[in-house]
Amino acid sequence: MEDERSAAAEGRIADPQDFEAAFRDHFPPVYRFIARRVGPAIAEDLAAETFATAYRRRALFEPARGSLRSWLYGIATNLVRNHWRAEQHLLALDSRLVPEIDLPDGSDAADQRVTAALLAPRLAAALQLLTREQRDVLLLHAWAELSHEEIASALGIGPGTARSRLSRARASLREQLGDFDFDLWVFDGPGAGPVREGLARD
Amino acid sequence: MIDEIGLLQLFRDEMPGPSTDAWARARSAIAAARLEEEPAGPRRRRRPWPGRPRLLSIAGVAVAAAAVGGLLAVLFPTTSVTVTRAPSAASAQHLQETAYVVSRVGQALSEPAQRNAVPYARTVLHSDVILTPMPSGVRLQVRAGASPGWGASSMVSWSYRGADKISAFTATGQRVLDVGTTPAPGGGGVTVAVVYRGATWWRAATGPPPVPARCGGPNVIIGHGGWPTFIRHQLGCGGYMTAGRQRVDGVNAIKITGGEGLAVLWVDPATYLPVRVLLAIGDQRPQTDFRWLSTTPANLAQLRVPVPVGFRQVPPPL
Repeated sequence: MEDERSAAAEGRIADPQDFEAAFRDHFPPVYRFIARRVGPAIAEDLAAETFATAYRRRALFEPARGSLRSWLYGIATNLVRNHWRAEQHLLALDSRLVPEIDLPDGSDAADQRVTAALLAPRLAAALQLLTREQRDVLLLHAWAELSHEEIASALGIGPGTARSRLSRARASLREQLGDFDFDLWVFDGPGAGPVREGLARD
Repeated sequence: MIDEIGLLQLFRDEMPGPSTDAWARARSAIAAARLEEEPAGPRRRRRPWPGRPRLLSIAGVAVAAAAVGGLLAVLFPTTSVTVTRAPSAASAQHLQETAYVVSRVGQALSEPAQRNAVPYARTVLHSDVILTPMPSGVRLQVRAGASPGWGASSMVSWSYRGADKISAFTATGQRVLDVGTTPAPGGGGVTVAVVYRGATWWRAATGPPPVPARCGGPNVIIGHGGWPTFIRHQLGCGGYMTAGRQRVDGVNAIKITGGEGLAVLWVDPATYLPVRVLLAIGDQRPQTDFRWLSTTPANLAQLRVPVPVGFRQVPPPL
């Protein structure tokens, strides 16, 4: 077990036993990444296919060119791309959600998670507007927590391209969120951001 | 202060991790990928060990191996595999791989998956095998004495959304018979058979296609639903095991052996659709090759059963 763990940690997967250790380590986060993008119904198939593909291509994996983690997320992202419509549909559903959260009086102190839940429809709508390339880079960074270099390795693009795509994606997301004050966790000005809408309904 | 990445990290953060089924599905997919790596080449069929064989359900073994989940049980509730001893780790893995492959073949041949395909099959028949057209399909059996039926050298079959047609030919290409079934609303169908040697034809209305009750036996009936239904039923009878890979028609196919109605089945690992089967009819093993064609007007026209002018209509057989 110790050997398997160290092999997986070092990114050695050529041997089926080493691959098994890597599978145990990486399957949960990769599955969750896919499920967050396309929903759990499709995620089961795509996560299974991700690791079946990784097994078939394991001889091609070169640790020197990037981490095992980024390689697996690259395979997963390629598979998710074939389900663009499902992903868009899920985002469209989320963007129409009306948060049902009871906020206590003095909601300035509301938990950030509650605020984030209230923001979810707005985030979903913003993600829906991103291009595929921007969304891939942004979610690999935010959800898979890959660095620029790892994203570049996962997607087979240059680090500069990864950096600029991420930058554009973040700017686009900020623009879509519009009047949200990232310091105060509220929407500024009159108008009705989702937080205020949610509060007004409550 | 939070930034947009921090907000995103909270978005759908409640998504749970993989379920037991998700783990099992992934393990099965990896097992199938491992199976694909097995070297090609024929394997000798396993001989049963002396003594009474022990029957293990695939679903049971799959659960024990935490592999296939409920998928197989849904597809083939009666599927079973005959093994001759308690499964070792290696044989449990083999059963797990078999369960996965069999379930994928079942899925590939299911009605939804076949909706836009026209399965075409060509069977090379031995002289000892005779064909008998019946309202429920075409029966293939070994000639025994004066058995009713017609000899033929080859048989071709076309299917599409519940309609199917089987035609048989002599070695010189002369048509021996056509048998076609068209589905009717409500589940039944109309079968038309034309027997060229006797210059006769008959028509029979049939009820909903019966679920084939028998596995194995001295003859084979390719009935309503054609080959996809027949193969699904045979796989449901159990007794099959994967047996490595063999190159068939340019495909490095997965070989499945061991059933009673189907002696051997080769499937394409990319689609899990059959490439070739060897039927088991008595001691005969006629070979059938498959093509999975698209729904072009020309292919769909093959499903028609024209009755030549001057042929005499006779009552259908009972």
